[in-house]
Amino acid sequence: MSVSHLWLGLLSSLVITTVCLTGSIYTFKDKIIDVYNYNKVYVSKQATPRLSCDSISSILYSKGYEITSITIPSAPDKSYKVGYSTLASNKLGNFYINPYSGVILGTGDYSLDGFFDIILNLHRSLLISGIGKDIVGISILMFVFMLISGLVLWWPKKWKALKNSLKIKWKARFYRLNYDLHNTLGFYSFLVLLFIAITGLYVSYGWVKSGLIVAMGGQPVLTKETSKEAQEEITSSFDDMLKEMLAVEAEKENRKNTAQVSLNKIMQLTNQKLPYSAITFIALPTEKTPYFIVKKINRENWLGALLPDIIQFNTKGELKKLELFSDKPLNKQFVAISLPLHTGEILGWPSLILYFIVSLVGCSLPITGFIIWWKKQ
Amino acid sequence: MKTISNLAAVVISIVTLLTSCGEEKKVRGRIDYDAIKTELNLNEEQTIKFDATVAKYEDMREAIKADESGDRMARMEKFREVMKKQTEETITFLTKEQGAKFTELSKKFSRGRSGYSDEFIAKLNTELGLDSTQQVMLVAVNYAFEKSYVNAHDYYHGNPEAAKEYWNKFDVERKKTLEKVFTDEQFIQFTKLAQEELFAGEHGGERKK
Repeated sequence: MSVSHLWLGLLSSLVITTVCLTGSIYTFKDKIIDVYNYNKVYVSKQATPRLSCDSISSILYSKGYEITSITIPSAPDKSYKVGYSTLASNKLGNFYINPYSGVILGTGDYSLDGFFDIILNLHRSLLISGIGKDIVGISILMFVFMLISGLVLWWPKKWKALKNSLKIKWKARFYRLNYDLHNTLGFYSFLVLLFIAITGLYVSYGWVKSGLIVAMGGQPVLTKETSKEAQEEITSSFDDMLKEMLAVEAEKENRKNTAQVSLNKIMQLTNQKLPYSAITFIALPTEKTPYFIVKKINRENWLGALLPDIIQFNTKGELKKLELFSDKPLNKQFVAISLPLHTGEILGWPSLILYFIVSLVGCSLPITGFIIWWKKQ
Repeated sequence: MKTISNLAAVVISIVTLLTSCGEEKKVRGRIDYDAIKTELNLNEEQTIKFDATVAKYEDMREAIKADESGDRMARMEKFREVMKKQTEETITFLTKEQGAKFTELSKKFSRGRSGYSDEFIAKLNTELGLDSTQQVMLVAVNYAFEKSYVNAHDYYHGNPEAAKEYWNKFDVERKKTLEKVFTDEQFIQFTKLAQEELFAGEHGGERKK
């Protein structure tokens, strides 16, 4: 066990360090970009209520913009983010709006996106097209093995030794301190690192994805060998989708003869169905999608996890679809939030910070492990 | 010492492998406009116009990203429209040869449509002589195909073989439904015309040449 832990560790160390380091940076992408655009994203909280969507819409219309989407944060010190189309030339754009005054704060500066794209590509494939993803995948498989073998190696042989295995002797000499950092930090971060690694493998390997989905009661990812039952489920889902699309086509016709309900009305209808305070995204109807699509991120659960509920209305304000996260079967819930589960966005700041620290520990394990091996030579 | 040498050999091999494979460094989701400018061999005036157009349409892409309501298909459709407009505007200040090359490159870089294109649907409408009800059904069936395929993205993401399986399965469903919509003669003709409508990559970007 210790020999394979050693050699697999040495083999995968460069990749694991890179993946953990880039993961810990990428975790904070949205937060960093928000801070980078601080003067646009954040506003001073005021005693007066925020302007309604219709007021914002009127203000923008008078300036030559038609809203195509709007993001309404739950935090009172954050601005509205509005997607628009210009009335003059149908040019698309987006900017932040002060929710108290309706003043346009400007377009976000996304110049950091390029940097984060590189970080993400390093994380996923080490910037190597083709084989890179496999190198990362195999290294993560090795990492999962090392986490488990590491736990076995860490496990104290005597009950009395447990106390020492849980502490770091900060005043010890370098090699002893390094040993403690590897063992003890590895133990404390074991579960979270294992979870991050497995959700990462879920993205990389179809068989891991299938295994997890089936374990949660779903059908496996489609292959040539997929069972008849799974095939039938897909046929059924297509039939349901066809009914939905026929309704959409009918709606396109109806829309021509109907006045569109206001955004305030849509907010009111949404809040009736989803009566909780949350960040809300609204996409307005278009020629091809004649529905208001509203997504609210529900945090009213015992963990405070960010769970999306989606609701759709036609232009008359009639409810067309309600997709509650809580109504989905476990496997579909997992698929829906697999990414925030992997990135740490699922619980907001607490999980982001936890994932950041744990990823840094993961990044350090190959280094401290290497030093342990080096000392033994 | 021998172990250290072995380890060094392994590390050097890995680094060599990484660097040798790393020649193609196209960052996912972003178009390398500098490489395109070089390939098109733009003059100074064209470069200024090209950069301005890129900036204008990048802003539009950011606007599309601002819609966080989660309708993946609607978002992809908007991205395609923006790329189409960008191409139309760009070729106005390029020579004929440069324009042809840029049109080809923009096709390569933009994500294709997984379902039938508007042009193909128009062709079916004309050549099969579809009535208005059949036309509406064709559009709805094609959207059902596209949306079903796009909604399955979480299952086939990063796995081209699985993507192909989903595409083919939904294509079978699409054709089965259209068989009920068309007359026998129309369906035979449709089958011939749709022969080249095959799976073209996870995001439909490698559609037939």
